[in-house]
Amino acid sequence: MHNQHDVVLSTRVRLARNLADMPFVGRLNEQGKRRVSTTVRDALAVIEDNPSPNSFLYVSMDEIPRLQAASLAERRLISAQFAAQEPGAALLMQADESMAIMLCEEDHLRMQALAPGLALHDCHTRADELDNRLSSKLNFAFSPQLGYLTQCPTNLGTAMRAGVLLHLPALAALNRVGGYAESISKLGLTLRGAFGEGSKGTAALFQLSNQVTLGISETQALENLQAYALQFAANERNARAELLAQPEWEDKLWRAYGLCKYARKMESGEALELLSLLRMAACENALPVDPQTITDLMTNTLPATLSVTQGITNADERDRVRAEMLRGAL
Amino acid sequence: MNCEKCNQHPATTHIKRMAGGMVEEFHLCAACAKASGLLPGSSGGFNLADLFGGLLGNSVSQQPAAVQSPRCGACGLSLQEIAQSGRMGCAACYDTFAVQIAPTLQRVHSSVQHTGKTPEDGNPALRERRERESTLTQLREQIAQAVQEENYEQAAALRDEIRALEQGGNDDA
Repeated sequence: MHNQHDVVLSTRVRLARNLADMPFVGRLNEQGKRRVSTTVRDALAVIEDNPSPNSFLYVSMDEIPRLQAASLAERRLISAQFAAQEPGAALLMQADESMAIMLCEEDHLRMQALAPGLALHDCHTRADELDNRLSSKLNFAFSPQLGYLTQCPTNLGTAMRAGVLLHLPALAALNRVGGYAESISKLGLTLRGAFGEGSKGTAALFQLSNQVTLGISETQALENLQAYALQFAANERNARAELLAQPEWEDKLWRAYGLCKYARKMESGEALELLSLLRMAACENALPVDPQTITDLMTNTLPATLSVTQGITNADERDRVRAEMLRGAL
Repeated sequence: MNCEKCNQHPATTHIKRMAGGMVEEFHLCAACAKASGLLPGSSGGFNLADLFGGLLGNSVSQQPAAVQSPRCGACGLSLQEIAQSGRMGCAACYDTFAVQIAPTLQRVHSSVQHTGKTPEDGNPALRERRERESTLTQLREQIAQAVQEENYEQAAALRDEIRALEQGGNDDA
């Protein structure tokens, strides 16, 4: 399957940078943060001399509605921490949402490139080019020994976090995900539940990313990730075949389908778990549904995103509309 | 042995991790181990900054008091404050506290030598500027030496070379 879409939902590569002549974010007051944010915005404006429909848009985080900030986090364009809308923090984002720069999150700049499926090379190339262009205007804190200097020393070096969002319903159902953790950490990588830092693998979504950043080059880290993502994809496919051969799983998937097709109200958590099952079945041609439709629903039925797109703020109404969206799609 | 993160409870969880070809060991109490995200299959409550701060705090308390006292000349942060938050105050902190944080960095990353991208990699202009500056520094040292040796002919030649280089720099700007 193209780009390993059946197992890899999306890829994100994030580079952290700090302005050499300003204290790190933790030592800045609101005014200082605004100065950093606008300095980067102005530098980018100079670089982007030919504004296109996909130019970066600048928004102050404290000026956008709370639900919209939460929806950006649900769509993985910003971190959950950044959605807290600290005064002075700002976001630069391309209209097609393929690149974003968080300003004054944990570091002055966290620029990230996103893409569906497994696309580490593509994402890294885009983030790297943006970094090159910005560094022609901005003086980033760097030391030949420690690499790019970051507020938290755990990000020193390449200051790169590359991650893939994995959908591992069969490995999770067979309790095999934990078994990989040890070999993953040997390569300086880490695997954790994708929803929030403290979560388990909700809906069997896991984030595989590099953890060690000092003493390993970008290329090496990306190669390790790529190798592991491919291995996960192969193992998950085998596990799916194993699972789908069991009659009780066939029944379980059709029940999930029935609930999504006929329910009149559904909470977000339930919808996500059911969609996770449906997505696996769709990718393996075990149910008459389109994988991409299900993948989109997994994001579009999340509470904040649904509220923003459908203009709803009431939780009860949201559950009703969510069920309506599922029925409509199936 | 107490937990190396909180230093309050006995270390009951001992984790070995291979990273960058080196074995790292962590000795933590059950709660800190769970929070560290280092346990196989764990995904919970994982905050690297806290872990770094904890490791640093423990390492600092074992160093002589004289090493512990300074504050960063640029932002005023102390080593204790860094250990508390797990976060540096500014880029200069890395120079100020280079010696004190080195052992902890080694534990977290297994290496203290950057091998990836440098700002010059994607930026030929930046590289040229740095190379020109380093050449200028060398020439200025040579000119001082020549003057000291009363070798005025060579000093004049060096001066012309410096001027030419400086003008080249201005053209770029």
